[in-house]
Amino acid sequence: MRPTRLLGFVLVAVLLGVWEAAARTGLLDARFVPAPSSIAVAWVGFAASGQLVSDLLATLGSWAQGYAIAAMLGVALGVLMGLMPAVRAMLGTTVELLRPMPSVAIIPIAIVLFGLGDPMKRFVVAYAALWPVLVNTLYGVLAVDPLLHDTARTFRLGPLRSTLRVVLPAASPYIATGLRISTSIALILVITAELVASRNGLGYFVRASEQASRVPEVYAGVLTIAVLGYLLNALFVAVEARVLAWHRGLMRTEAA
Amino acid sequence: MVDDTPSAARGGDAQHSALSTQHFLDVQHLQKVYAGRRRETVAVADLHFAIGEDEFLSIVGPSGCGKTTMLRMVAGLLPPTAGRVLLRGRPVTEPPPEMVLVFQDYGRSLCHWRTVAGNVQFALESVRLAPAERAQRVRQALDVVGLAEFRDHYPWELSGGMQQRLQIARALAYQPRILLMDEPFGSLDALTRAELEDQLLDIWSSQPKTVLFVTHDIEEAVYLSDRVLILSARPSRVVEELRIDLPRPRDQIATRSLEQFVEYRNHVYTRIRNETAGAPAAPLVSTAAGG
Repeated sequence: MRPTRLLGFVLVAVLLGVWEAAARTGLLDARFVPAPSSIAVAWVGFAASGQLVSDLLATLGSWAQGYAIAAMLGVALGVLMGLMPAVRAMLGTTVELLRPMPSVAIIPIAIVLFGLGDPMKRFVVAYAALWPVLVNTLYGVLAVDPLLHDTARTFRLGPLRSTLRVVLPAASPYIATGLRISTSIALILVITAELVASRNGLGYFVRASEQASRVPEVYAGVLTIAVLGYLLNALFVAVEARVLAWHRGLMRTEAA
Repeated sequence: MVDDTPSAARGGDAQHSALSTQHFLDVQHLQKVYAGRRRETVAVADLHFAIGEDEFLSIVGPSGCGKTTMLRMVAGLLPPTAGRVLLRGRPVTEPPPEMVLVFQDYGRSLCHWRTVAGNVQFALESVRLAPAERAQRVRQALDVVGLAEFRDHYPWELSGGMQQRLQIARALAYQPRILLMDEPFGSLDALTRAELEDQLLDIWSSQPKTVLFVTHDIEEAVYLSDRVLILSARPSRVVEELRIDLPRPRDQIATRSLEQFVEYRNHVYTRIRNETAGAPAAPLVSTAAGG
């Protein structure tokens, strides 16, 4: 592990220590801000009961399904809009109207349409995660060098082949940016939907604990969500580093 | 004036025969006009010439004379405003299967997400081949340009000269009958350029093909070609066709020291200088073409 990364974890440990001391000495009111140790006890209980696994799976399931739909739809629409000016002209206004709207505002509509449950969560996640993927894919496709299009044509690649073999890989750094933004947006939305209207998932666990005044459980749930967000992002970065290694190399040589 | 040199007379003969027989590749009164908001821009005024099978033809002209536009029209990548391109008598409306265009800007034309071998393979994406032959063609093309040991590298790990070599390998793997080259060595240093010129001549003589080579380098055009077309400044026309009767195989030192070589070069140079100096281009064309 690099020393800087280690330093980061040291700071986290120090903060937890200070927190623990503050809670024990009564500097913090343990009714509202319990000590990390009691949060840890609550978390162990959460995990031992099996509820952690089932809530985690529920959250991850909705997250993954909604995200997958958004990724496929976003890339497909982005490519179509990027390659076909007519499609771009047709969909552009709609996209620009829907995109700036805070996606949480779609939750009431989603509840009306799908009721409380996983389909509603999937829809909300897919809706919110769609825009970054779509817009970044569109920009990426528009940024593909015209010379690459000429190259594909001179070697007689048809429209489908040149989309798959040239446009998508050339736009992949942009697409990856959209997908990365969407991983966290999808998590925000799935948790929000669960907090507001759901009967399972980590968000639901936090809300139920809060309504039952089980404060340490509230914190345990929130910290679990934080770690989940961290891990999902780390996973994405690791995959991206492998898939887009060529792009980092290219950027390095162009900068040199 | 320069028109009376023997070489110019030969150029006149070439043009005469171009009119009388059907050629391998005919470029007929090609014109490209870009419609602007206020006024039209004539990029290519009226280009008319022919290329014989397996001929090495270079086109030189002042910079910005529409050479790239012309080449994209010949390649079937850009529809002309007027005129047409005939390949074996058939009009070119899309990139013909037996033709490949090599771009000046290798960095922008290569697939940076593919390895060196992967980039060569790119040429064969639309070609039906048995896997063994596909691999064989990639190997061969890389051997010819001397990149075999770099097959697993990425293009951005290579020098400019090597990247351009890779682009040429990609074109060779496709096995085109016609190679269109747009100032392919324009951004390379002099030594690399000389090396690649000779490599290109080697390839051309060992696997005969028709080459249409666009350059702004007069010496390069004379050194490589069977025939040189001199273009006027924009809007471009052919000012003169010049047959280059220099012995082959050519040699960077021996050929370039020939008195004849120097004559050709000076002749082309004078012609282009007159063009860029703003001398009335059109009348010069007719007198020159008349021989």
